[in-house]
Amino acid sequence: MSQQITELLDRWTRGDNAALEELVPLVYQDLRRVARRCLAGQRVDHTLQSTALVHEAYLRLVGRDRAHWQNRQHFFAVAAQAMRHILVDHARKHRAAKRGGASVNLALDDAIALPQLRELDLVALDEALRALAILDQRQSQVVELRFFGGLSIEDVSNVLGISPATVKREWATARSWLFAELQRQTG
Amino acid sequence: MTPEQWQQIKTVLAVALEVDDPGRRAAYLDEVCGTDRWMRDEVDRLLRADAMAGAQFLANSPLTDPSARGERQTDPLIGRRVGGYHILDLIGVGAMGEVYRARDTKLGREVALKLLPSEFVHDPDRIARFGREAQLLAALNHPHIGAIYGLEDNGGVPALVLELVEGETLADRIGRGLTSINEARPIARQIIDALEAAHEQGIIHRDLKPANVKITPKGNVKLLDFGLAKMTAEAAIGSRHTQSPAVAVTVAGTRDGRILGTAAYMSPEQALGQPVDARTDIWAFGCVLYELVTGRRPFAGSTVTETMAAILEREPDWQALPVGTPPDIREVLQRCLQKDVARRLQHIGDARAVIEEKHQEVDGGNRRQRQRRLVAVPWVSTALGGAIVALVVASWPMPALEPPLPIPFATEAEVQAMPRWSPAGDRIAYVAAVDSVLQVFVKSPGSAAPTQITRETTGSLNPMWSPDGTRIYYVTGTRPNNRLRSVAAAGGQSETVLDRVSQADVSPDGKTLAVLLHDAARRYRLAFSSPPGAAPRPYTQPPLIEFSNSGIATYFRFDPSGQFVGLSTVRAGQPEFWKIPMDGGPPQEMLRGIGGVGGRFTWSRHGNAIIGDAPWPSAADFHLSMMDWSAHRRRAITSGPTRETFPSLSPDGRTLAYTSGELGYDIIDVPLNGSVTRDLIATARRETAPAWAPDGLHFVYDTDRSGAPEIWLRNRIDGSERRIVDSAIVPEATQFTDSAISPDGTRLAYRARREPDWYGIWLSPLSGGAPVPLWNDQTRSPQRGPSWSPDGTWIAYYGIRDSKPAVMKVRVGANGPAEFITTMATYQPVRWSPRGDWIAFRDGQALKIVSPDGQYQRVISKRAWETYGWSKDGAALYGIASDANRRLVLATIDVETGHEHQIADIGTMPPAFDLAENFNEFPYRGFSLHPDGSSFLTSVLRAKMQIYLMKDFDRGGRLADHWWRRQ
Repeated sequence: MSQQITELLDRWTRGDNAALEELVPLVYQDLRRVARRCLAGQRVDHTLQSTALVHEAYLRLVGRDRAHWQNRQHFFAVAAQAMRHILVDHARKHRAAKRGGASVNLALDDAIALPQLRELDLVALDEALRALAILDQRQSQVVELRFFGGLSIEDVSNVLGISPATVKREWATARSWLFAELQRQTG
Repeated sequence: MTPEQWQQIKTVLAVALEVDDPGRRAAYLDEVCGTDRWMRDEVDRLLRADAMAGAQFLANSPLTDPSARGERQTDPLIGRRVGGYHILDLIGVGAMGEVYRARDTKLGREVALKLLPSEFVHDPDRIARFGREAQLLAALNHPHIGAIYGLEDNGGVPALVLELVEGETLADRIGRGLTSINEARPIARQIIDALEAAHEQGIIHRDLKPANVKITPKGNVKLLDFGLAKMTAEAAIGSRHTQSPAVAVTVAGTRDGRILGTAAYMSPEQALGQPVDARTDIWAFGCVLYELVTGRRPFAGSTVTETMAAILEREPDWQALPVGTPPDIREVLQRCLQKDVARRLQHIGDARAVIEEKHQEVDGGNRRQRQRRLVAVPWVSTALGGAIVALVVASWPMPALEPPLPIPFATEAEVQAMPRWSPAGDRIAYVAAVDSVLQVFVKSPGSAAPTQITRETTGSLNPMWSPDGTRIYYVTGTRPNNRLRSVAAAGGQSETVLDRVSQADVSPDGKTLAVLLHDAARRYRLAFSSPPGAAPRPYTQPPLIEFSNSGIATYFRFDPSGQFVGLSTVRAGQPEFWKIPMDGGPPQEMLRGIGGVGGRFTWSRHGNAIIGDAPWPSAADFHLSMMDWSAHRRRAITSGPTRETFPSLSPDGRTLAYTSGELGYDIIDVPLNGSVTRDLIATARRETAPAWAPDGLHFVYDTDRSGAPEIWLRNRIDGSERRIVDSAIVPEATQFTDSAISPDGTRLAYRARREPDWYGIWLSPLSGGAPVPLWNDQTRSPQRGPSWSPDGTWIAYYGIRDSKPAVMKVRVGANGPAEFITTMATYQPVRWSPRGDWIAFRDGQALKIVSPDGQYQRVISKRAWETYGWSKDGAALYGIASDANRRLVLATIDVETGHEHQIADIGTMPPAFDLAENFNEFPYRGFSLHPDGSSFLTSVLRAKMQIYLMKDFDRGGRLADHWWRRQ
């Protein structure tokens, strides 16, 4: 499927508008999966329906200047940014409406679960990520691409033009830093 | 922190995160940080954060594809029937079909059921291909090829009934890390055997890849998935050629991106769409062997086109073969991976000849070389105050190692358990049964003669050493009067150290005892006695203040530094593992999990991990595993059909001592007149909770003899049997017990344990058929031990009320809610009298009766009744009680007068009874009076346990240390 997306993006960037029509449902499907996954952990009474989330994501995506969508990596980099905004906005609204509401449910290893991190506060993560961007812009981008964009180490390495080994190190150290920062924020 | 500082810290942190061993890590940090205290503190802080974050932190990107498993959880087929098969769960999705685990309800075995994916059920070509696969498999009967049992019609669509091969696929195996040549060789040989058998029948597999090869836990290899296989025309008309399956592969690929996995093993002729023959399998075999030895595919690309280009144009990277790869393996690989069909190995059997001949030569000559790969990654950092740090990181995989063999240590007696290494590592203390009483023994590994050092009249448990190795502490006495005692390690007079202690451990400096104290109300508290024997100070840090009924599941050990006590317990049904700092700091919860986290455990040498016996990965896997929270991983240490418990690690961290064996129940018939009890079913497995049907001819009982929980109805005279309940009928059930047949003989009530850890009572018709829950308690409060009212309209059971064990009752068929009758001290069976006027139950050390409305209650005996039930007329209770001298007696109580009468002495309490509490088991399960009123059925706990040593149990970790030191 990602193969298909790449080909369609190629055709589209070469000016084939029919490719966009085929591309849309695929992207839509991807984002719907995202939405399902994101919202799976929330209570039934959540205010933002998954379809609404998809529409919002979709509009944001097609609203971008399509010339920038050079390839699949770029596409997902854009998607990563969009997802980050959608999810964090949603979490923030929800938090305002109901203190301590929205969070992404993390699938924890059945066998070993660290209870203090059952849920991840996306608003807090976003703030921590901004703080990291001040220390190291590129490192915060690695996290955005990996976590919000779902890119593999290799894909991140392609998008940012750095070696996979560097991506791995940036990712590992960013994880430690972000966790410490989240702990600091939550006291 | 400034960006510059972060760059520096990040560099050091990245290296430190790569080093698992805390000691090496500290040495590295000492070196690079030097006197820079601030940097050291920052790095330490971030390392701690990393350890707490765990592997799952940020691991699941919201954009990543959900795993196939996650997507399929709501598969509508699960739980349904196809022909005589009950579908249990999805075990694999391939292009050619979806494979489910299913139970053959007629033959009582599990099978793999392969169904067409729903989108293809109307595709005649797919259906025909399915039929062809069935025919091909039927022609192949070979130990290394997954067998076919039949072809089932699923509403016009065929379903293949296949042998269910347990184990991991070769792809899984490769994914776990590099295999050694010695491990690869037998796998390769078995694949060769399977291919040769197929080729001899004129059958080409055409889709050989690691995902289609399974390895059973015993190392038997099975070739699966002949979905693309084809009978060569040769078998029919003499030509060796057949059409390429390229089209089919493309179909497979578009479906879910699996094409890369398949394309990588395509032969050049397949890639070109040319006719293929058996030699295409030989190419694929070469690819598989290459991947097995190097851990990567010989021809890889990020797209199908690139992969195909590699297959057609490039040579595999022969440099990737480990340095010590024997010449015979190299030769086979090079001959199989010849692009030119004519120059390729022509018959798969030739590969075996090469491997076997050469292998013998190598064995006969030089000792085979161990493959080693050390990848040097020099890390030069100039940012660290001018210091240049060069670091070499040893890269896994190392030679993968077969698990070490266990060595028998103490196996002579019926029961020997709870080994504990002496602080010097020269001796092991353990308990073994002498005349049915567990006593403490000491023995050196390598010496034949154990020394018995205690002479207690009640079972001695949990021996542990003083740090100088001169004394041994242990717990003895019957509940609730357990005592901690000590004795010289050479033997001699024992002395009592503390009363009311059921668990204990000595600190490494010997100055403090950690103990589990209990009071008269059976509340358990952790306390510290320092110096040993001084009045214990209870631990007061929440939430670890009281352990109440879960006290028996609480186990603790000082860590090797003595700065922490590790404590594994169960609170609110949830297993947890805590680290309690001895400096008074708050306790830290380290692990929590559905499958059980610590169990009885021992610390790793560096205190960064524990090895425990909590079931994992499923509730039925009673094996040892290592939980390492610094590296966020859990790893199995033992496996197999036995149950391993009570690990103890030698002080040098190398040798693991543990108990191995079965704790089983046998079914016995106890005549009320005191004549000899008879074994009705005595096996090595667990058969419990028998209950008579009103006809007095049949009885039901539960068993795990098939490996899964079941309830059977047995004819007592001719031994014929019928299964009433199994885990296909009550999904997710991992245990059944506490059977009770309704007074009219039509229904069976029983308790089912379902994951995650919920006990509920279910009702099944005795004639067979679908079960119903007794009542749907939304709070999932546990329900145990059903007992029918004589008119069959009510069921009493023991459950929980306000987090205390309680006697409850519920009207049958009304779907609850249950009514509370009275509380009880611990979970104990309840028995409704045949007159309907009383319910008998055990409340702590007293046997009581309560009226079903809860209004009247009285104590009728103060003996320790292990099992009890009513006489036929309901005027008396019968049962088995234990007396102070460890004798078991059959006795009766007149309910009216309270008069107790001992009928017969039925022998010494078996040693298994001393272990019962440690395994959270009742010594007896069940009481069912025969309809003629002359005898009752029950089941009795019997144990057979030995102690084994596993040397070098963590060889991988040790080799890492070793390599590190060499640098």
